[in-house]
Order: sequence, then C-alpha cells, then structure tokens
Amino acid sequence: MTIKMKTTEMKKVLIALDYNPTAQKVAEEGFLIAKAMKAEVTLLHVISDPINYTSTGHVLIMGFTGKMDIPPVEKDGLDALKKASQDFLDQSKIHLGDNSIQTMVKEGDCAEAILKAAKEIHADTIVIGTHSQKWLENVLMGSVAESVLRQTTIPLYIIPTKKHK
Amino acid sequence: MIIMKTKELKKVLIALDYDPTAMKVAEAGYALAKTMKAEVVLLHIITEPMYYHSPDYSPIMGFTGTMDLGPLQIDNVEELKKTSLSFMDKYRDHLGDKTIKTVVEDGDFAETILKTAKHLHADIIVIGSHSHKWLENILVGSVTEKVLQHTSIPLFIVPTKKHK
Repeated sequence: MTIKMKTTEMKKVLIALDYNPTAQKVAEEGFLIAKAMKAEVTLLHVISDPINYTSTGHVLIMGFTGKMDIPPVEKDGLDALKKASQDFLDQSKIHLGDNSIQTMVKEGDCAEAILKAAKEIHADTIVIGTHSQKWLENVLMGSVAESVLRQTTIPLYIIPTKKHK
Repeated sequence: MIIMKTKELKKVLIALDYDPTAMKVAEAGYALAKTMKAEVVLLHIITEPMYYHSPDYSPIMGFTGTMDLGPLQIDNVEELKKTSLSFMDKYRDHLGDKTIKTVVEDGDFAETILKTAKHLHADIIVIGSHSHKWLENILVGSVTEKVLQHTSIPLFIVPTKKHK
C-alpha cells in the first residue's frame, strides 16, 4: 500500500547560535543539513542574559579568536551587545562561506525568542546545540533545547556539541 | 572561508514506539531522509512488557483491525519481537518504500537506541517528542548520560503533540 505523503519540503532552517565555543559545530552541522535539504539558512543569536557575555568562559567566540576583536562588552550597553552579536553572526556567515545566509539578533528569553523567530520566518526546522559541559546545569535549570522542544510545532534538530573522547 | 569536511548524511535511524503519533514521526523522518537521499532504518525497542499490556496502547498505531494480534503473551520476548517486527513492516508498507530496513531490539530505550545508531553508523536519529520516557532518560538518566558522552549523532526531534 502506497499512500501519498504530504511532502514536507524543508525550505527554511533556523540555526540558533550562542557564544559558546561549540557554536561553530552547530553552525557547520546545521548548515550541512540545510544544504542537503536545499534549504535557506537563517542564523539567529539571542541576547538573553548579559552575564553570559562577560563570563570568562565565553571569551573565545566560536573559535574565531584572533579574527574577531571584540572589545570587552559593556554589561549594560545593549547596543554594544547587539552590535557584537551581529558581528558574531556575520563572522559565522563568512566562516560558512555562503552569502545567501540570513542573520537575526533577538532579545529576551532564549527559548521564547527562538520559537518566535522560527514563526516569523516560517522556519521548517530549528537547529540547536546542546553543550555537555553545562549538561547538569541545564537539567537543573531547564535547558533551552528542552524548553524549545516542549513548545515547538516544527522539528528540532539537536546537535550534541560535547567533546569527543 | 574554510573548506568544510563534507559529511554526507547516509543513514537515518527512525525510532518508533507504539504510540499512535508514531506515524507522524515515521513520515517526517522519512521525508527528511529522502531529501538527503539517505537510507532509512526503522527501529523499535522492546523495553518493559508492561508497556504493551497497558490499555492505552492496545490499538497499535491506528492500525486496529488490520492487525490481529490477539492477547499478547507478555512473558514471551520472542513473541513480542515477532509482533514488533510485523508492526515495523506495517510502517514500511505505509511509507511505501521496500528499501527501508527494520530492526527490533530489546533493552533500555535510550541506551539501545544509541547503541543501535552506533552499530548501524547512523548519521541522524529521528525520534518523536512524545517519547517522554526517552527524553527523561536523556535529560536525567545517568546511564544515558554516559552513553551520550560517547555519541555525537544529531537528533531530529519531531513534535507529536497537538497544535495549540
């Protein structure tokens, strides 16, 4: 029996990137799958908690150290934060080497902003990474991936970003 | 611009349970696999026999009527495997693609799925978001955490809850 399937064509992929060094992997893998699906790519960064931007653990931006000279971010300078975020996405775009990539910077609760952005651009798939270093933390505090997962109505592509053995 | 290692996606492992929404997972996973020209493997994991006995799951995948299972012998794993296999075959028939492989394993859901994925060299694991048990395991299970530390296979999660 062959039934006609609603051909869910994947046309738009939203890739959520944060400042975690592993974001590079998420960008690359998300980009690869989007290409395989011949989908458009939108890179999204959500400005949620300014603390994230000042923590020393996040100084290494996406492995782009050296290439990117971001001055210490002013904790309360939202404009500076937005600019830094935009630069980060632009760098990611250059890194992926595809001019057709769209970029978006949003503010607010991470999961909420991701879902909103996905709706806004009519994304067919959301790509997100999970960071193992923060695994336990995420479990206790509720990870972004998890809350996106609980609310999303479109498929979620989760990329594990832990280090290999 | 750097040259990226082009990792071609070749095998998609779709984990299905007896939940009626599993068909949606099967279809979405299959559609994804097709866009990537990937092979498809359908996997069902036999966990606790109790699961199969619960009245919630008695209509198997909405195929009620087409499949006459009779009362399940819950203590007969072989019987359960056989039933599960024919259940997977139903899915394959539904998707209408004879190249689809089907696998039935038993054991802990999360652990088995990751083991199977590794064994098959799957590039992507597709799963439904209703698999709470699995999610719970992924999120808090200590065994899973261990397994997870040894996998780097992306997960494609299909939302199966109703739209608001």
